[in-house]
Amino acid sequence: MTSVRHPDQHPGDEVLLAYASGALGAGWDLAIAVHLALCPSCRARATDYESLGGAALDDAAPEALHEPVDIAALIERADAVEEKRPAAPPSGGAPVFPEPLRSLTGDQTDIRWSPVGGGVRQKIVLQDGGVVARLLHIAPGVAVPEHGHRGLEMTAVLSGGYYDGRDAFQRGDIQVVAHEGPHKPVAMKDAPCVCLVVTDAPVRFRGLLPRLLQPFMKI
Amino acid sequence: MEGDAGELWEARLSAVAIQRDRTAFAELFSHFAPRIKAVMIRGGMAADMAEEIAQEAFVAVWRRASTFDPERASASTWIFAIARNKRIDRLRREARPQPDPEDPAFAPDEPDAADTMMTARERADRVRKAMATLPPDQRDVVMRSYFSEHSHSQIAEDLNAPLGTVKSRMRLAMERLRAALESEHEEGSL
Repeated sequence: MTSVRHPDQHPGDEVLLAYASGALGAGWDLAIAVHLALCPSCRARATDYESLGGAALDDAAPEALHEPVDIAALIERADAVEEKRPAAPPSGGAPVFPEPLRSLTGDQTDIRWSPVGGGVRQKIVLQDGGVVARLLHIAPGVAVPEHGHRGLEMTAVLSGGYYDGRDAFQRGDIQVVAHEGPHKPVAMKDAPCVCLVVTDAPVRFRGLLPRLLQPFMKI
Repeated sequence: MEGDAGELWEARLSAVAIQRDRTAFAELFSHFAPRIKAVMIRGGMAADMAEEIAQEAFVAVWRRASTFDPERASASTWIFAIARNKRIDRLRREARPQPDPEDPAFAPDEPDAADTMMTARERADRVRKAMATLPPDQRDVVMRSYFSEHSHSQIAEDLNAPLGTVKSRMRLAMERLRAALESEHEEGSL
């Protein structure tokens, strides 16, 4: 059995290290959590990096607690916590969106999309500082206008798939783009492509029409 | 965690999960809570908040002990991950999004993985050993990036080193860690 080499469809080691340490901000860790829910081998890689934290616990010089802790009271407190169960999966068939996304948005059939033009629809999931996580629904065969990135973009595919001119991305895949190069994803022809896209800087489109659309897309 | 001690903590977590063993829970608490506090302080957290995080983590340890799977993670790794999430919840004032193994859309682990892979404890030992063999300057940037909120550029400033140097140390360290784990995977699967 060979281990996954994390080609483009999986997050790189530095991203997983940051996820494991807890350093990834809101939005980014949602995209990674969605990928991990769908990719057992990256879950194992993430656990490898979490074990750095485990080793740190083992090696840490203990810091005595100031207040003596009453274990019985702590257990009582634990037993009193109301368990928040995630949204029940919709009846009839397995859900498309995995947790933790489904608790935030409902399943794919629940989404109320807003058209942004050119066969692309969107739903903003969360905004945190400059980071925006949005769902995109791209009609079959449609190209998202060519755009360059100033910051980081993570795209986790939930259904359907797309080509970016070099690689194909399908359900469970994630694309992490950190460079400036423009790219132009094209949805595969057989089905719409639904993906979770997280960006941290306004995306710059090339060409006039997409630029005019940009304020509406809030991209 | 070195072999035997790790096994001991796993057994105590199982006792908490299955028998709701309060003595085992108290032992876990007195071992790990002060260490969680120490690691949180190292990450820049105030001592009283670090202490609260340690307690909140143990509320979750009691509630979620049955989800501990020794095939997936060692006891200290599992407890670290809980404490890390409590820290994030506190900083964001909302729950950190996490995959849910009970979710019907969750892709389960491959069934043969457990036979061909090292145990979680062995893997954790490999990571620890690989870290120990990194050149000190590389280990330093990994640890700074792991345990502080600092970005690469902040780390470069702290070290008074060019950003490119920090980035290349980080990249080299990640390559070495990955290589160490992959060679051990192959060994483990023979």
